[in-house]
Amino acid sequence: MKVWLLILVMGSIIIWNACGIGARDKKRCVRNLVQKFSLDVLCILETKLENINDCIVNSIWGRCSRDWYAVPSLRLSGGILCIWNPASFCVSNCSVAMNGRILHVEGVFSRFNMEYLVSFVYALNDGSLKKELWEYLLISKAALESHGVLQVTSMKLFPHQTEKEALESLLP
Amino acid sequence: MISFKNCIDCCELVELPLNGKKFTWSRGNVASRIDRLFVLGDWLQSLPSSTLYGLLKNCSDHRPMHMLIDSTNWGPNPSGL
Repeated sequence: MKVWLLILVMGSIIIWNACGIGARDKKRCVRNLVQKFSLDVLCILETKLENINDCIVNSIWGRCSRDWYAVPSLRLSGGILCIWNPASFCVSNCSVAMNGRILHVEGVFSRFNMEYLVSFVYALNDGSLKKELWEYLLISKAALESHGVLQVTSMKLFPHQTEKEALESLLP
Repeated sequence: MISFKNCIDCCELVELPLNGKKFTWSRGNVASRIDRLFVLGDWLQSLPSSTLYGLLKNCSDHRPMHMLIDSTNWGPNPSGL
């Protein structure tokens, strides 16, 4: 008699442009997400925090095992925080590019035994800056080719823009 | 001229569709899908059940995006039974 095996292996990642995580209620919102979805990786874009420390990370992630890397904001603009569970997401290198608008995280997704490069991209609503960003990503294409790539983009737009206008504005 | 679209095309990235929600950002009467997630085709081949969900918006104008990476092994081939 053969036994049927159903093996479910899942990974869980949340990416959120939180528009600032300095306030206590924002941290509580993030903490709720972490608890609800038992995350492997959490990335907060636009932290609006110039300094991030273990205390802030603990208030978000709790006491579970974690590593983290933060790109400081420039005053109240930008800032990226990535927190991960080192048991499932083995990070070998974090690097920052384009004045803190891109965070590359490299390593192995141990659950799937898969090498990866995740690029978190925060694109400001400025035509020439965005052009630089896309040019940079094209140049780094060679690095992307050797990995399982996950690229996340959060684009900033003016409140009055529609989606069509925002997409058109991406063209430099 | 290099555009966002060219960049995505040249890097051979594929956008992961968003399930459940149409927009990721809204303020007042304006809504947009400005948060996007791209993967290499290889990623989808290895992990075809990768799915992206838009979560409830709270505390921010942007929705959190939840990517569930599902690798399902259905065990031995049924024809072997």
